[in-house]
Amino acid sequence: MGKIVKAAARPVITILITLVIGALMIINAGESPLKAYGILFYGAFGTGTGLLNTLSKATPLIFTGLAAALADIVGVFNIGVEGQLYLGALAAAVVGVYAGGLPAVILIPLCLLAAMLVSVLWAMIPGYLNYKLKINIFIMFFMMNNMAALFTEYLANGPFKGNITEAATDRVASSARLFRFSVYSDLNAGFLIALVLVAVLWFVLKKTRIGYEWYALGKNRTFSEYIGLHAGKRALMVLAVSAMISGLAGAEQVLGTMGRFYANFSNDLGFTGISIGLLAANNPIGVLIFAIFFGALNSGGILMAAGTSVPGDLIEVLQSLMILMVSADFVIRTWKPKKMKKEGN
Amino acid sequence: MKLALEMEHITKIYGEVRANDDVSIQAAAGEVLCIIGENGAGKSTLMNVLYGMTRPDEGVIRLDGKEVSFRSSRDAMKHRIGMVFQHFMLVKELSCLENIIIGMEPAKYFVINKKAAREKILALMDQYGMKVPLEKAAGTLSVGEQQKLEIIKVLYRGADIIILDEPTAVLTPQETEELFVNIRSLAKAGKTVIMITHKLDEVMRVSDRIVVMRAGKVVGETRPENTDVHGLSVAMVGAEIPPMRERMETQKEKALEVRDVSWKNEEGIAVLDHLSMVINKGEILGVAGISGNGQPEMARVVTGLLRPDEGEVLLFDQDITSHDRKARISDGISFIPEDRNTTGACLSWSIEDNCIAGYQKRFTGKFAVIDRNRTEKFADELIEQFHIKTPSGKLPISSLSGGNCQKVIVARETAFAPEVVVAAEPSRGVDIGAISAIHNHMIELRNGGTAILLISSSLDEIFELSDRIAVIFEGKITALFDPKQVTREEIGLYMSGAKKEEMVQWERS
Amino acid sequence: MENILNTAFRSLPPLLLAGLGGMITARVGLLNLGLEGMMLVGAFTAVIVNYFTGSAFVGLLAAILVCSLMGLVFAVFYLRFKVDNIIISVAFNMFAVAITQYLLGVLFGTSGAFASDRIRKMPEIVIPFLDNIPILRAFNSLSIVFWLALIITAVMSFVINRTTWGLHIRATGLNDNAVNTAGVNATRVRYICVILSGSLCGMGGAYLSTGYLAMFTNNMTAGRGYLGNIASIIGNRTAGGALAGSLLFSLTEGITMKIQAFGFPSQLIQLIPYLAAFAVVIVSACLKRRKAKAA
Repeated sequence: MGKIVKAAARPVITILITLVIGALMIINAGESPLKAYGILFYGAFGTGTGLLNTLSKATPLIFTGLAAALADIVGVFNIGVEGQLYLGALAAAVVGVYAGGLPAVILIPLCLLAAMLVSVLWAMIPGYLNYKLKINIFIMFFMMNNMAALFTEYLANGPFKGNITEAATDRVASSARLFRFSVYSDLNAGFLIALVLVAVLWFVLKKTRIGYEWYALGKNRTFSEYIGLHAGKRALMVLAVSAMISGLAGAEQVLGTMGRFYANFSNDLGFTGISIGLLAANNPIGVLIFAIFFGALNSGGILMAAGTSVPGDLIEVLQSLMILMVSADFVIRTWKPKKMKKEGN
Repeated sequence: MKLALEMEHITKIYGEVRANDDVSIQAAAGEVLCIIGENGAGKSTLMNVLYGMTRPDEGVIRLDGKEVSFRSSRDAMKHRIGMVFQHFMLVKELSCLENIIIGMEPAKYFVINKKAAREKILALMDQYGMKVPLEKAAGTLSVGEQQKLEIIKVLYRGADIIILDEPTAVLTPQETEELFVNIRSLAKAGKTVIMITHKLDEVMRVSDRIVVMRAGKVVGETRPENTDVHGLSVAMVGAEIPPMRERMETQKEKALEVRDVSWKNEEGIAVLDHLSMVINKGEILGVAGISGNGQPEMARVVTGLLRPDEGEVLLFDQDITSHDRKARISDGISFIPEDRNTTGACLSWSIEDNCIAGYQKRFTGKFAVIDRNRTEKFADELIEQFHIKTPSGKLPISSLSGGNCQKVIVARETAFAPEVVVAAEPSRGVDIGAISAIHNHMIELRNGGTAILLISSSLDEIFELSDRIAVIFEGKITALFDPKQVTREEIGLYMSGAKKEEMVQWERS
Repeated sequence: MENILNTAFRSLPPLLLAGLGGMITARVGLLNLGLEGMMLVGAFTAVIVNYFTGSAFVGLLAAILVCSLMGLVFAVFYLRFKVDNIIISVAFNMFAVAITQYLLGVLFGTSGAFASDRIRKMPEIVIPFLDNIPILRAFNSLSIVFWLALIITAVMSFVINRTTWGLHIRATGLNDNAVNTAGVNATRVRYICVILSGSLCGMGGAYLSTGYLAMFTNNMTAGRGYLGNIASIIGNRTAGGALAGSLLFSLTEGITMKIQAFGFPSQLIQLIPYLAAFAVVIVSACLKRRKAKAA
């Protein structure tokens, strides 16, 4: 029990400080924080549809958060989630459109598999170049995020362009669509897949030898080789798993929420996922909680902006502040030993 | 002769170790002073104090009779002290000229005056008879030339006292000759040269005066004309041999064999050079050597962490060269590494998690789930058996003292009846109680038939434990002794490279 | 042709300035992906100060100042608190997007974009006779920042290659241990370079909002900071190379605008600079490897 309290202390404090800063900004905008937060909360959780919307907004973030967290555990900071997500989304859409005749039991798994496969291939380009040639992987991830956006935009506007004015594919076959819980919300079976993934990853990480070895790899590479791992290959493998999850994030958006692939649809789902991974300290259950929290801010924020004079962008300010706060947590940790040293002298 | 440097009553304590204990040395201008001693004798600490990299707990430094105190190496530099490190401090991609002038560039309005710099350097190079190609990138130079570059860099900064840390360790014999010529010409020009080394024959040739250190103290001071290599060797390693621990007779059956193993590092230096050895069941083979002669690489080749370029590793006559670390763990080759904090343990983990490291597969059941009941019990057993001082195995291993942490590693690496144990510096930085416990345990294992490869820079430890003693020098085993029939002095000669055998006879019976 | 060139030149300064910022931090061994956020804040500051003071010049100075401060904050987090530079970058960039949007809402009650005729554009340099010369015509009526950026490129190239500071900068990124033992404070060199990258981004941002356009729109940098990073990679971390890299990007932008009219997939052209960057990193890594093997 004490362990849980300890683990929860940091995110809770982070959230509280952020909300206080937010309150100050709301006062500055001439509104009552209580009222604004009240509307926000009501919008996110107060109604059935609001709740469904919160969960729907959280779904892709659970995937991207898990993808980022998993890679970070083994010491590969996967900032390429955004690009992997685009590739996965497009792959799911293409299969969903062009193999539309198949029944759902075959088609949906096929779409998901295609999304995962294409994402992995995309991520393996920088992964392998880093493994073989020691090229800085962040540079490659970053470039490939932009390249993924451009490349999928080209494909959605050219070879795979659908019968629509925007750069987008056709609608995927209805048998490829994930089950939706309500006509009023985008929430779909993808959320359940995300929940299963949270549980599976939590189990693998905390209970099994595989998790034990992944943590060893992330904590100390020399040590992990000493206990019998091929560090480089293992890291590449985990990056592949991370990319699969990113691909699923894209597939969920296409098969569940949007129904087709739109160019540049993501709006930083990948980067927000990375932040969520950081906030959750790479814990899968933490990722779930923070993703729902971010989802709530997004869905409730719309109502708050409509009901008060507070600009809706406040939500994004708060979200980015939270990431800064996580860095600030690093600050506190690095500060302490120095102080102690000084006292020691 | 006027004294350029006096260091008096220098004491430096790290934790419980007196790295320097009331050390005093002097050096005159125009003198070449050699400081010799085994690893851990305190030479480097003394030089770090002189170069301002650490501050002494007690003692004073005087330059030309004036007391000085340094807060950083920059202060030392200002007082005309220069140091050439064993690992060169060069920017490989920049030209030699840029490497020399950095931090002291002749410049007008911040624009570097390369012409002035070149003239000044050329004058210096002429004066001391040292030449390096100024326009070439430093990284393209040979090791010997890079060292020359470092010396010129120090001279350019106007150093009068020049410290050379193990300068010949990386040089070929020809380059060494050239270095000695250069050292003599520096001394002739009135510079004070302080050289740290453990190569005794070189000391005899280049030095004016020799200071011998052992266990943090100065134990002797002499001149080359008053001594010889033997005398120095005795002074350096001491003469007393600790009693060998009692042991049982064991059956001699070959367990591990290493055949003609060679390995070159990234710089193309042959760190292991046709190294061969044999360890029998129920035997402790002690490998003595001065550090930097390939010991860690030897351990890593045996334990599967390093694939040699050439040669084979055999276990009970079966070739296991291609086995990776994981396979060697199942082969029964366990490893107590020399750096427990970075390799042997994961510091942020609990004692319990560290207790199963490398053997995690033994504790997993269905779906690769780790059986926490068993790991907990196992950790508690090891804690009890080895008297590891901790209230619980759930605590992070970083909460343990060095000795207890090392006991965890030793306990783990010997828990699963290994065939071969590679123990690298098992008692480094460990308190006496833990050392004794670890040594007892190693003898016990040996009596039980385990083959143990003990790699240690402590001759005491080697003598106490070994059934046979091998000496490693420049990546090669250069001698093999029966500990009952050898003196420390003799081993010291082999360790410093003054003597070596071309072929070591491994099979005597 | 001239049209393409002119379009390219107009879009060049922010890319070039960010490229120089990326170059100077890369030179001291730091991948600064926060350029994007810094530039956005610069663009915002320039518009706001410009609006309230009525001076484009004061706006430019304010942008440089604010972004230099951001550079300082970045440097403190990175160098003193040892926070991972990617994490700071992600936080910086998200924060920049959010805070500019938010402040726009609070200050002017608008969301998305802000324009006003009180915003003065930075002066353009008109060279009358150029109009009569083909090709060179493209250089006419370009913003003063365009020329400034070119001058800065030349100055930085000179400083890095010929001066004491430059030597310290070059050496710091390659081997800071060697620099420290030579008596130069490598950390201070790094501080200066990160702050400088902020100043350059401030200038780039100011151009974007008060030179290229005369307005602020949400997330108006649109990845130009990242492109700057990539430009510096294409240019192999030299000032001249950063110019070449950013020219490649701005030319593709110019060509894209032209070619879109004919229905050619512009994204493929936009991909070219990335492929060039990839080629550069792969080739240089291979060379490094071969060198290591030869040694």
